[in-house]
Amino acid sequence: MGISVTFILREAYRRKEVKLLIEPEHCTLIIERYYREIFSYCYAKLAYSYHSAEDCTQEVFVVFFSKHERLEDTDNIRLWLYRTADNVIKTFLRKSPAAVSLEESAEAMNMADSGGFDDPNGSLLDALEPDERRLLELYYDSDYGQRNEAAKRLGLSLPALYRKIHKIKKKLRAAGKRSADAVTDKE
Amino acid sequence: MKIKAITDKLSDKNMLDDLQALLDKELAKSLEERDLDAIEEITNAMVGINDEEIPQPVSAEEVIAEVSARKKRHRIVLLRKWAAAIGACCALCVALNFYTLKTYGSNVFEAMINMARSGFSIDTNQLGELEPAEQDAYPMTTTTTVAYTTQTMGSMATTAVTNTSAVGNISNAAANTTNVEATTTNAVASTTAAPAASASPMDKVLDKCDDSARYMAEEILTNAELAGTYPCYPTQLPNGFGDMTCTDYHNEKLKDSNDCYFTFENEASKLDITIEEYYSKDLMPNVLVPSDSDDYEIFRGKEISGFIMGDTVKCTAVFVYGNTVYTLHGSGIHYSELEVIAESFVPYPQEFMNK
Repeated sequence: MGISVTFILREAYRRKEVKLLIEPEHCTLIIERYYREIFSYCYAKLAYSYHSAEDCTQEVFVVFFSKHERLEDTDNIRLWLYRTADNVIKTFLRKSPAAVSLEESAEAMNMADSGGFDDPNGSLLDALEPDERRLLELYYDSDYGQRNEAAKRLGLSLPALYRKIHKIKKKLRAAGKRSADAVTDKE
Repeated sequence: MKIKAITDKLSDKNMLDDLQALLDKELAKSLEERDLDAIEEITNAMVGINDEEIPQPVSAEEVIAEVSARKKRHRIVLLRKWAAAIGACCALCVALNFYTLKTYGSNVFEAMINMARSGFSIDTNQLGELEPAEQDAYPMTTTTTVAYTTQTMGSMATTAVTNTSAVGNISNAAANTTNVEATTTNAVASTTAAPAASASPMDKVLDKCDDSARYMAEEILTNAELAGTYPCYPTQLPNGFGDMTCTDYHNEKLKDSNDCYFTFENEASKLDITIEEYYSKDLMPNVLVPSDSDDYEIFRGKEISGFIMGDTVKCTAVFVYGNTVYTLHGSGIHYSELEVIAESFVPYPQEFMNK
Protein backbone atom coordinates (compact mmCIF):
# COMPACT_ATOMS: atom_id res chain seq x y z
CA MET A 1 0.00 0.00 0.00
CA GLY A 2 2.74 2.42 1.08
CA ILE A 3 4.77 1.75 -2.00
CA SER A 4 1.85 2.29 -4.29
CA VAL A 5 0.99 5.67 -2.76
CA THR A 6 4.55 6.88 -2.98
CA PHE A 7 4.83 5.51 -6.46
CA ILE A 8 1.65 7.22 -7.63
CA LEU A 9 2.69 10.53 -6.11
CA ARG A 10 6.17 10.41 -7.55
CA GLU A 11 4.81 9.46 -10.93
CA ALA A 12 2.38 12.36 -10.76
CA TYR A 13 5.25 14.72 -10.03
CA ARG A 14 7.42 13.20 -12.66
CA ARG A 15 4.73 13.72 -15.24
CA LYS A 16 4.18 17.24 -13.88
CA GLU A 17 0.59 16.33 -13.18
CA VAL A 18 0.79 18.00 -9.85
CA LYS A 19 -2.89 18.74 -9.83
CA LEU A 20 -3.56 15.02 -9.70
CA LEU A 21 -2.27 15.08 -6.16
CA ILE A 22 -5.31 16.68 -4.75
CA GLU A 23 -7.73 14.56 -6.65
CA PRO A 24 -9.91 12.83 -4.04
CA GLU A 25 -8.60 9.34 -4.87
CA HIS A 26 -5.00 10.34 -4.19
CA CYS A 27 -6.05 12.20 -1.12
CA THR A 28 -7.91 9.13 0.09
CA LEU A 29 -4.91 6.92 -0.56
CA ILE A 30 -2.59 9.12 1.45
CA ILE A 31 -5.04 9.58 4.28
CA GLU A 32 -5.82 5.88 4.52
CA ARG A 33 -2.17 4.97 4.48
CA TYR A 34 -0.91 7.42 7.07
CA TYR A 35 -3.87 8.56 9.15
CA ARG A 36 -3.53 5.77 11.73
CA GLU A 37 0.10 6.26 12.53
CA ILE A 38 -0.10 10.06 12.51
CA PHE A 39 -3.04 9.90 14.87
CA SER A 40 -1.11 7.55 17.19
CA TYR A 41 1.89 9.85 17.05
CA CYS A 42 -0.20 12.90 17.91
CA TYR A 43 -1.99 10.94 20.62
CA ALA A 44 1.32 9.95 22.21
CA LYS A 45 2.76 13.42 21.97
CA LEU A 46 -0.38 15.10 23.26
CA ALA A 47 -0.47 13.16 26.52
CA TYR A 48 -3.14 10.75 25.29
CA SER A 49 -5.62 13.50 24.65
CA TYR A 50 -7.92 11.83 22.14
CA HIS A 51 -9.73 14.86 20.80
CA SER A 52 -6.64 17.01 20.59
CA ALA A 53 -4.92 14.23 18.67
CA GLU A 54 -7.89 13.96 16.33
CA ASP A 55 -7.81 17.72 15.63
CA CYS A 56 -4.07 17.76 15.11
CA THR A 57 -4.13 14.76 12.77
CA GLN A 58 -6.75 16.42 10.62
CA GLU A 59 -4.69 19.59 10.60
CA VAL A 60 -1.59 17.65 9.50
CA PHE A 61 -3.39 16.38 6.41
CA VAL A 62 -4.90 19.75 5.62
CA VAL A 63 -1.44 21.28 5.82
CA PHE A 64 -0.04 18.49 3.71
CA PHE A 65 -2.53 19.01 0.92
CA SER A 66 -2.16 22.79 1.13
CA LYS A 67 1.58 22.61 0.65
CA HIS A 68 1.95 19.49 -1.44
CA GLU A 69 3.26 21.58 -4.36
CA ARG A 70 6.36 22.34 -2.36
CA LEU A 71 7.19 18.67 -1.97
CA GLU A 72 10.25 17.68 -3.90
CA ASP A 73 10.26 14.63 -6.05
CA THR A 74 12.64 12.94 -3.68
CA ASP A 75 10.84 13.92 -0.50
CA ASN A 76 9.72 11.18 1.83
CA ILE A 77 6.02 11.75 2.35
CA ARG A 78 5.96 9.84 5.59
CA LEU A 79 8.82 11.84 7.03
CA TRP A 80 7.21 15.03 5.76
CA LEU A 81 3.98 14.11 7.56
CA TYR A 82 5.84 13.43 10.82
CA ARG A 83 7.63 16.75 10.53
CA THR A 84 4.34 18.49 9.86
CA ALA A 85 2.81 16.70 12.83
CA ASP A 86 5.64 17.98 15.04
CA ASN A 87 4.96 21.53 13.87
CA VAL A 88 1.20 21.22 14.21
CA ILE A 89 1.56 19.84 17.74
CA LYS A 90 3.96 22.61 18.66
CA THR A 91 1.51 25.21 17.39
CA PHE A 92 -1.37 23.47 19.15
CA LEU A 93 0.48 23.40 22.45
CA ARG A 94 1.50 27.04 22.07
CA LYS A 95 -2.08 28.07 21.42
CA SER A 96 -3.58 25.94 24.21
CA PRO A 97 -0.82 24.83 26.57
CA ALA A 98 -3.31 23.93 29.29
CA ALA A 99 -5.16 21.54 27.00
CA VAL A 100 -2.71 18.68 27.49
CA SER A 101 -0.16 17.79 30.11
CA LEU A 102 0.94 14.25 30.79
CA GLU A 103 1.03 14.74 34.57
CA GLU A 104 -2.26 16.55 34.79
CA SER A 105 -4.20 14.79 32.08
CA ALA A 106 -7.20 13.20 33.77
CA GLU A 107 -7.90 11.34 30.58
CA ALA A 108 -4.49 9.74 30.69
CA MET A 109 -4.65 8.94 34.39
CA ASN A 110 -8.03 7.27 34.09
CA MET A 111 -6.86 5.16 31.23
CA ALA A 112 -3.72 4.14 33.02
CA ASP A 113 -5.71 3.18 36.10
CA SER A 114 -7.93 0.85 34.16
CA GLY A 115 -5.36 -1.92 34.29
CA GLY A 116 -6.50 -3.43 37.63
CA PHE A 117 -8.79 -6.41 37.98
CA ASP A 118 -10.28 -8.46 40.79
CA ASP A 119 -9.60 -12.14 41.36
CA PRO A 120 -12.14 -13.16 44.03
CA ASN A 121 -11.65 -16.94 43.89
CA GLY A 122 -8.11 -17.33 42.48
CA SER A 123 -9.23 -19.29 39.41
CA LEU A 124 -8.92 -16.49 36.88
CA LEU A 125 -5.49 -17.51 35.66
CA ASP A 126 -7.02 -20.75 34.55
CA ALA A 127 -8.78 -18.81 31.86
CA LEU A 128 -5.45 -18.13 30.21
CA GLU A 129 -3.56 -20.26 27.74
CA PRO A 130 -0.23 -21.62 29.06
CA ASP A 131 1.72 -19.20 26.81
CA GLU A 132 -0.29 -16.26 28.03
CA ARG A 133 0.24 -17.32 31.62
CA ARG A 134 3.98 -17.55 31.14
CA LEU A 135 4.05 -14.14 29.49
CA LEU A 136 2.11 -12.62 32.35
CA GLU A 137 4.38 -14.19 34.93
CA LEU A 138 7.38 -12.94 33.03
CA TYR A 139 5.99 -9.43 33.01
CA TYR A 140 5.23 -9.32 36.71
CA ASP A 141 8.40 -11.03 37.83
CA SER A 142 10.77 -8.65 36.02
CA ASP A 143 11.67 -5.00 35.89
CA TYR A 144 12.07 -2.78 32.80
CA GLY A 145 15.51 -4.02 31.75
CA GLN A 146 14.61 -7.65 32.24
CA ARG A 147 11.37 -7.18 30.35
CA ASN A 148 13.25 -5.68 27.48
CA GLU A 149 15.56 -8.68 27.44
CA ALA A 150 12.67 -11.10 27.72
CA ALA A 151 10.87 -9.44 24.82
CA LYS A 152 14.00 -9.85 22.72
CA ARG A 153 14.25 -13.51 23.74
CA LEU A 154 10.67 -14.01 22.66
CA GLY A 155 11.40 -12.34 19.34
CA LEU A 156 9.15 -9.41 20.18
CA SER A 157 9.66 -5.72 20.56
CA LEU A 158 8.84 -4.18 23.93
CA PRO A 159 5.75 -2.41 22.56
CA ALA A 160 4.55 -5.70 21.08
CA LEU A 161 5.11 -7.47 24.42
CA TYR A 162 3.17 -4.75 26.23
CA ARG A 163 0.31 -4.99 23.80
CA LYS A 164 0.13 -8.73 24.41
CA ILE A 165 0.23 -8.19 28.17
CA HIS A 166 -2.51 -5.62 27.84
CA LYS A 167 -4.64 -8.06 25.87
CA ILE A 168 -4.09 -10.77 28.49
CA LYS A 169 -5.06 -8.35 31.22
CA LYS A 170 -8.19 -7.47 29.34
CA LYS A 171 -8.99 -11.17 29.03
CA LEU A 172 -8.45 -11.63 32.76
CA ARG A 173 -10.63 -8.60 33.47
CA ALA A 174 -13.42 -10.08 31.36
CA ALA A 175 -13.06 -13.46 33.06
CA GLY A 176 -13.16 -11.76 36.46
CA LYS A 177 -16.30 -9.92 35.54
CA ARG A 178 -17.95 -13.14 34.39
CA SER A 179 -16.97 -14.87 37.59
CA ALA A 180 -18.30 -12.04 39.73
CA ASP A 181 -21.56 -12.07 37.79
CA ALA A 182 -21.88 -15.82 38.37
CA VAL A 183 -21.38 -15.37 42.14
CA THR A 184 -23.99 -12.63 42.20
CA ASP A 185 -26.42 -14.82 40.29
CA LYS A 186 -25.91 -17.71 42.74
CA GLU A 187 -26.62 -15.41 45.67
CA MET B 1 0.39 -13.52 41.57
CA LYS B 2 -3.16 -13.04 42.73
CA ILE B 3 -2.28 -10.19 45.08
CA LYS B 4 -0.08 -8.64 42.46
CA ALA B 5 -2.81 -8.80 39.87
CA ILE B 6 -5.30 -7.18 42.17
CA THR B 7 -3.02 -4.46 43.48
CA ASP B 8 -1.26 -3.72 40.21
CA LYS B 9 -3.58 -0.95 39.23
CA LEU B 10 -0.84 1.16 37.82
CA SER B 11 0.71 -1.52 35.67
CA ASP B 12 -0.76 0.05 32.54
CA LYS B 13 0.78 3.32 33.57
CA ASN B 14 4.09 1.56 34.03
CA MET B 15 3.86 0.17 30.54
CA LEU B 16 2.94 3.57 29.16
CA ASP B 17 5.88 5.13 30.99
CA ASP B 18 8.21 2.56 29.51
CA LEU B 19 6.84 3.21 26.03
CA GLN B 20 7.07 6.95 26.53
CA ALA B 21 10.74 6.54 27.47
CA LEU B 22 11.28 4.50 24.32
CA LEU B 23 9.50 7.14 22.24
CA ASP B 24 11.52 9.94 23.80
CA LYS B 25 14.70 8.04 23.01
CA GLU B 26 13.65 7.77 19.39
CA LEU B 27 12.54 11.40 19.18
CA ALA B 28 15.87 12.56 20.58
CA LYS B 29 17.42 11.54 17.27
CA SER B 30 17.39 13.88 14.31
CA LEU B 31 14.35 13.59 12.08
CA GLU B 32 16.25 11.80 9.33
CA GLU B 33 17.71 9.24 11.74
CA ARG B 34 14.47 8.38 13.43
CA ASP B 35 13.10 4.90 12.97
CA LEU B 36 9.58 5.72 11.87
CA ASP B 37 8.50 2.10 12.02
CA ALA B 38 9.58 1.90 15.66
CA ILE B 39 7.78 5.15 16.41
CA GLU B 40 4.66 3.81 14.72
CA GLU B 41 4.84 0.61 16.76
CA ILE B 42 5.38 2.44 20.06
CA THR B 43 2.61 4.96 19.48
CA ASN B 44 0.19 2.28 18.27
CA ALA B 45 0.93 0.32 21.45
CA MET B 46 0.23 3.42 23.51
CA VAL B 47 -3.14 3.82 21.82
CA GLY B 48 -3.88 0.13 22.35
CA ILE B 49 -2.89 0.10 26.03
CA ASN B 50 -5.15 3.09 26.62
CA ASP B 51 -8.00 1.04 25.11
CA GLU B 52 -8.58 3.69 22.50
CA GLU B 53 -9.92 3.06 19.04
CA ILE B 54 -8.27 5.02 16.29
CA PRO B 55 -10.99 7.21 14.76
CA GLN B 56 -12.15 6.85 11.23
CA PRO B 57 -9.94 8.88 8.92
CA VAL B 58 -11.41 12.16 7.74
CA SER B 59 -12.85 12.00 4.28
CA ALA B 60 -10.72 13.23 1.42
CA GLU B 61 -13.50 15.56 0.28
CA GLU B 62 -13.53 17.19 3.70
CA VAL B 63 -9.78 17.75 3.62
CA ILE B 64 -9.83 19.07 0.05
CA ALA B 65 -12.75 21.38 0.89
CA GLU B 66 -10.82 22.75 3.88
CA VAL B 67 -7.70 23.17 1.75
CA SER B 68 -9.55 25.13 -0.93
CA ALA B 69 -11.36 27.21 1.72
CA ARG B 70 -8.02 28.08 3.28
CA LYS B 71 -6.51 28.90 -0.09
CA LYS B 72 -9.44 31.18 -0.80
CA ARG B 73 -9.03 32.87 2.58
CA HIS B 74 -5.31 33.16 2.01
CA ARG B 75 -5.94 34.68 -1.41
CA ILE B 76 -8.32 37.23 0.09
CA VAL B 77 -5.83 38.12 2.81
CA LEU B 78 -3.09 38.38 0.20
CA LEU B 79 -5.29 40.51 -2.00
CA ARG B 80 -6.04 42.82 0.91
CA LYS B 81 -2.36 43.10 1.72
CA TRP B 82 -1.50 43.89 -1.88
CA ALA B 83 -4.32 46.39 -2.11
CA ALA B 84 -3.09 48.09 1.04
CA ALA B 85 0.50 48.08 -0.20
CA ILE B 86 -0.45 49.40 -3.65
CA GLY B 87 -2.67 52.04 -2.04
CA ALA B 88 0.18 53.13 0.21
CA CYS B 89 2.56 53.23 -2.77
CA CYS B 90 0.10 55.32 -4.78
CA ALA B 91 -0.36 57.73 -1.91
CA LEU B 92 3.40 57.96 -1.51
CA CYS B 93 3.88 58.56 -5.23
CA VAL B 94 1.23 61.28 -5.26
CA ALA B 95 2.80 62.93 -2.21
CA LEU B 96 6.30 62.66 -3.67
CA ASN B 97 5.10 63.95 -7.01
CA PHE B 98 3.44 66.88 -5.34
CA TYR B 99 6.61 67.60 -3.40
CA THR B 100 8.99 67.31 -6.35
CA LEU B 101 6.70 69.35 -8.60
CA LYS B 102 6.57 72.06 -6.01
CA THR B 103 10.25 71.92 -5.12
CA TYR B 104 12.03 71.06 -8.34
CA GLY B 105 9.42 71.74 -10.97
CA SER B 106 9.59 68.18 -12.29
CA ASN B 107 7.65 65.05 -11.51
CA VAL B 108 8.96 62.44 -9.14
CA PHE B 109 10.37 60.17 -11.84
CA GLU B 110 12.28 62.94 -13.56
CA ALA B 111 13.51 64.20 -10.22
CA MET B 112 14.74 60.69 -9.35
CA ILE B 113 16.53 60.38 -12.67
CA ASN B 114 18.09 63.77 -12.12
CA MET B 115 19.25 62.81 -8.64
CA ALA B 116 20.62 59.52 -9.92
CA ARG B 117 22.96 61.49 -12.13
CA SER B 118 24.92 62.43 -9.03
CA GLY B 119 23.59 65.93 -9.21
CA PHE B 120 20.44 67.80 -9.80
CA SER B 121 19.36 68.66 -13.26
CA ILE B 122 17.11 71.62 -13.82
CA ASP B 123 15.05 71.99 -16.96
CA THR B 124 15.85 75.53 -18.07
CA ASN B 125 12.68 75.75 -20.13
CA GLN B 126 10.61 75.04 -17.03
CA LEU B 127 12.76 77.43 -15.08
CA GLY B 128 11.89 80.23 -17.47
CA GLU B 129 8.21 79.55 -16.92
CA LEU B 130 8.38 80.22 -13.19
CA GLU B 131 6.24 83.17 -12.29
CA PRO B 132 8.04 86.09 -10.62
CA ALA B 133 6.72 87.47 -7.37
CA GLU B 134 3.56 89.51 -7.49
CA GLN B 135 4.31 93.08 -6.63
CA ASP B 136 1.49 93.26 -4.06
CA ALA B 137 2.85 90.31 -2.23
CA TYR B 138 6.19 92.00 -1.75
CA PRO B 139 5.63 95.43 -0.22
CA MET B 140 9.25 95.40 0.92
CA THR B 141 10.43 95.24 -2.66
CA THR B 142 8.23 98.12 -3.58
CA THR B 143 9.55 100.14 -0.69
CA THR B 144 13.07 99.37 -1.77
CA THR B 145 12.32 100.62 -5.25
CA VAL B 146 10.98 103.81 -3.83
CA ALA B 147 14.10 104.10 -1.73
CA TYR B 148 16.25 103.81 -4.83
CA THR B 149 14.25 106.59 -6.37
CA THR B 150 14.82 108.74 -3.38
CA GLN B 151 18.52 108.07 -3.35
CA THR B 152 19.02 108.81 -7.01
CA MET B 153 16.56 111.64 -7.07
CA GLY B 154 19.00 114.35 -6.34
CA SER B 155 20.99 113.86 -9.48
CA MET B 156 18.46 112.49 -11.91
CA ALA B 157 14.96 113.67 -11.54
CA THR B 158 13.60 112.29 -14.79
CA THR B 159 14.76 108.78 -14.04
CA ALA B 160 12.84 108.92 -10.82
CA VAL B 161 9.65 109.41 -12.80
CA THR B 162 10.54 106.53 -15.10
CA ASN B 163 11.08 104.34 -12.09
CA THR B 164 7.69 105.22 -10.73
CA SER B 165 6.04 104.13 -13.93
CA ALA B 166 8.01 100.87 -13.91
CA VAL B 167 6.51 99.92 -10.58
CA GLY B 168 3.08 101.09 -11.59
CA ASN B 169 1.42 97.91 -10.41
CA ILE B 170 2.13 98.42 -6.77
CA SER B 171 -0.64 98.58 -4.19
CA ASN B 172 -2.54 101.72 -3.41
CA ALA B 173 -0.63 102.48 -0.29
CA ALA B 174 2.66 102.03 -2.08
CA ALA B 175 1.41 104.02 -5.05
CA ASN B 176 0.58 106.89 -2.80
CA THR B 177 4.04 106.83 -1.42
CA THR B 178 5.42 106.88 -4.92
CA ASN B 179 3.27 109.81 -5.79
CA VAL B 180 4.58 111.69 -2.83
CA GLU B 181 8.08 110.85 -3.90
CA ALA B 182 7.27 111.85 -7.46
CA THR B 183 5.99 115.18 -6.28
CA THR B 184 9.16 115.73 -4.35
CA THR B 185 11.08 114.73 -7.38
CA ASN B 186 9.30 117.24 -9.49
CA ALA B 187 10.13 119.92 -6.99
CA VAL B 188 13.75 118.99 -7.07
CA ALA B 189 13.67 118.45 -10.79
CA SER B 190 13.05 122.09 -11.37
CA THR B 191 16.47 122.84 -9.96
CA THR B 192 18.37 119.88 -11.50
CA ALA B 193 16.77 119.53 -14.86
CA ALA B 194 19.92 120.28 -16.80
CA PRO B 195 22.09 117.24 -15.74
CA ALA B 196 19.14 114.87 -16.15
CA ALA B 197 18.72 115.78 -19.78
CA SER B 198 22.31 114.76 -20.60
CA ALA B 199 22.17 111.31 -18.88
CA SER B 200 23.38 108.42 -21.07
CA PRO B 201 21.21 105.29 -21.65
CA MET B 202 23.56 103.37 -19.34
CA ASP B 203 22.99 105.90 -16.59
CA LYS B 204 19.28 105.56 -17.07
CA VAL B 205 19.51 101.79 -16.86
CA LEU B 206 21.68 101.98 -13.77
CA ASP B 207 19.22 104.23 -12.04
CA LYS B 208 17.33 101.13 -11.07
CA CYS B 209 20.29 100.06 -8.93
CA ASP B 210 21.03 101.15 -5.44
CA ASP B 211 24.48 102.54 -4.71
CA SER B 212 25.99 99.24 -3.64
CA ALA B 213 24.90 97.40 -6.81
CA ARG B 214 25.67 100.15 -9.24
CA TYR B 215 29.31 99.20 -9.81
CA MET B 216 28.55 95.50 -10.32
CA ALA B 217 25.68 96.24 -12.69
CA GLU B 218 27.79 98.68 -14.68
CA GLU B 219 30.61 96.14 -15.03
CA ILE B 220 28.21 93.49 -16.21
CA LEU B 221 26.31 95.68 -18.61
CA THR B 222 29.36 97.39 -20.11
CA ASN B 223 31.20 94.13 -20.77
CA ALA B 224 28.09 92.37 -21.93
CA GLU B 225 27.25 95.17 -24.33
CA LEU B 226 30.71 94.81 -25.87
CA ALA B 227 30.03 91.09 -26.21
CA GLY B 228 26.78 91.93 -27.95
CA THR B 229 24.32 90.99 -25.27
CA TYR B 230 21.98 92.85 -22.91
CA PRO B 231 21.56 90.69 -19.84
CA CYS B 232 19.64 91.11 -16.61
CA TYR B 233 21.61 92.90 -13.94
CA PRO B 234 21.55 93.21 -10.16
CA THR B 235 19.88 96.20 -8.63
CA GLN B 236 20.60 95.52 -5.00
CA LEU B 237 23.36 93.97 -2.93
CA PRO B 238 23.22 93.07 0.75
CA ASN B 239 25.23 95.08 3.26
CA GLY B 240 28.96 94.50 2.94
CA PHE B 241 28.90 93.55 -0.73
CA GLY B 242 29.15 97.07 -2.18
CA ASP B 243 32.94 96.94 -2.19
CA MET B 244 33.13 93.91 -4.47
CA THR B 245 35.31 94.45 -7.49
CA CYS B 246 35.42 92.62 -10.79
CA THR B 247 38.54 90.48 -10.70
CA ASP B 248 37.89 88.46 -13.80
CA TYR B 249 35.81 88.70 -16.92
CA HIS B 250 35.87 86.84 -20.16
CA ASN B 251 33.54 86.20 -23.01
CA GLU B 252 33.19 83.08 -25.10
CA LYS B 253 31.15 82.81 -28.22
CA LEU B 254 30.25 79.17 -28.50
CA LYS B 255 28.33 77.20 -31.10
CA ASP B 256 25.04 77.49 -29.22
CA SER B 257 25.58 80.42 -26.93
CA ASN B 258 27.31 83.66 -26.18
CA ASP B 259 28.74 83.29 -22.67
CA CYS B 260 30.00 85.93 -20.28
CA TYR B 261 31.85 85.02 -17.11
CA PHE B 262 32.28 87.48 -14.30
CA THR B 263 34.02 87.15 -10.98
CA PHE B 264 33.43 89.74 -8.25
CA GLU B 265 35.37 89.61 -5.05
CA ASN B 266 35.98 91.41 -1.82
CA GLU B 267 37.99 90.32 1.21
CA ALA B 268 35.40 87.91 2.51
CA SER B 269 33.36 86.75 -0.44
CA LYS B 270 33.47 85.79 -4.06
CA LEU B 271 30.62 85.84 -6.52
CA ASP B 272 30.82 84.16 -9.93
CA ILE B 273 28.20 85.19 -12.41
CA THR B 274 27.80 83.20 -15.59
CA ILE B 275 25.53 84.54 -18.28
CA GLU B 276 24.81 82.17 -21.14
CA GLU B 277 22.74 83.63 -23.91
CA TYR B 278 21.53 80.86 -26.19
CA TYR B 279 20.67 81.60 -29.76
CA SER B 280 17.39 79.79 -29.40
CA LYS B 281 15.31 78.40 -26.53
CA ASP B 282 15.57 74.93 -28.04
CA LEU B 283 19.33 75.00 -27.59
CA MET B 284 19.10 75.60 -23.86
CA PRO B 285 20.39 72.51 -22.03
CA ASN B 286 19.35 71.33 -18.60
CA VAL B 287 21.43 72.77 -15.82
CA LEU B 288 23.21 70.03 -13.92
CA VAL B 289 24.04 71.04 -10.40
CA PRO B 290 26.44 68.57 -8.80
CA SER B 291 25.43 68.44 -5.19
CA ASP B 292 24.98 65.90 -2.41
CA SER B 293 22.09 67.87 -1.13
CA ASP B 294 18.80 68.17 -2.90
CA ASP B 295 17.63 71.00 -0.75
CA TYR B 296 16.51 73.43 -3.42
CA GLU B 297 14.18 76.34 -3.12
CA ILE B 298 12.44 78.62 -5.52
CA PHE B 299 13.09 82.32 -5.16
CA ARG B 300 10.80 84.89 -6.69
CA GLY B 301 12.28 88.27 -7.41
CA LYS B 302 10.80 91.42 -8.79
CA GLU B 303 10.91 90.30 -12.39
CA ILE B 304 12.70 86.99 -12.45
CA SER B 305 12.50 83.80 -10.46
CA GLY B 306 14.55 80.65 -10.25
CA PHE B 307 16.17 78.04 -8.04
CA ILE B 308 18.54 78.60 -5.21
CA MET B 309 20.50 75.93 -3.40
CA GLY B 310 23.46 75.57 -1.12
CA ASP B 311 24.40 76.40 2.43
CA THR B 312 26.01 79.11 4.51
CA VAL B 313 29.39 78.75 2.80
CA LYS B 314 28.63 77.97 -0.82
CA CYS B 315 25.45 78.53 -2.69
CA THR B 316 24.18 78.72 -6.22
CA ALA B 317 21.24 80.46 -7.80
CA VAL B 318 20.01 79.64 -11.28
CA PHE B 319 17.40 81.47 -13.28
CA VAL B 320 16.36 81.95 -16.85
CA TYR B 321 15.16 85.04 -18.60
CA GLY B 322 14.30 84.70 -22.27
CA ASN B 323 17.01 82.63 -23.90
CA THR B 324 19.58 83.40 -21.26
CA VAL B 325 20.59 81.22 -18.33
CA TYR B 326 22.07 82.98 -15.32
CA THR B 327 24.14 81.13 -12.77
CA LEU B 328 25.26 82.89 -9.62
CA HIS B 329 27.71 80.99 -7.49
CA GLY B 330 28.72 82.45 -4.17
CA SER B 331 31.65 81.47 -2.00
CA GLY B 332 31.63 82.89 1.49
CA ILE B 333 28.21 84.22 0.75
CA HIS B 334 25.26 83.20 2.85
CA TYR B 335 22.32 81.55 1.18
CA SER B 336 19.99 84.39 2.15
CA GLU B 337 22.46 87.00 0.84
CA LEU B 338 22.69 85.32 -2.53
CA GLU B 339 18.91 85.15 -2.56
CA VAL B 340 18.77 88.94 -2.14
CA ILE B 341 21.22 89.42 -5.01
CA ALA B 342 19.41 86.98 -7.29
CA GLU B 343 15.99 88.44 -6.53
CA SER B 344 17.22 91.93 -7.38
CA PHE B 345 18.09 91.06 -10.99
CA VAL B 346 16.00 92.95 -13.50
CA PRO B 347 15.99 92.70 -17.29
CA TYR B 348 17.70 95.26 -19.44
CA PRO B 349 15.11 97.75 -20.64
CA GLN B 350 14.13 97.08 -24.23
CA GLU B 351 14.14 100.74 -25.17
CA PHE B 352 17.87 101.11 -24.49
CA MET B 353 19.04 98.12 -26.46
CA ASN B 354 21.15 98.92 -29.52
CA LYS B 355 19.50 96.80 -32.12
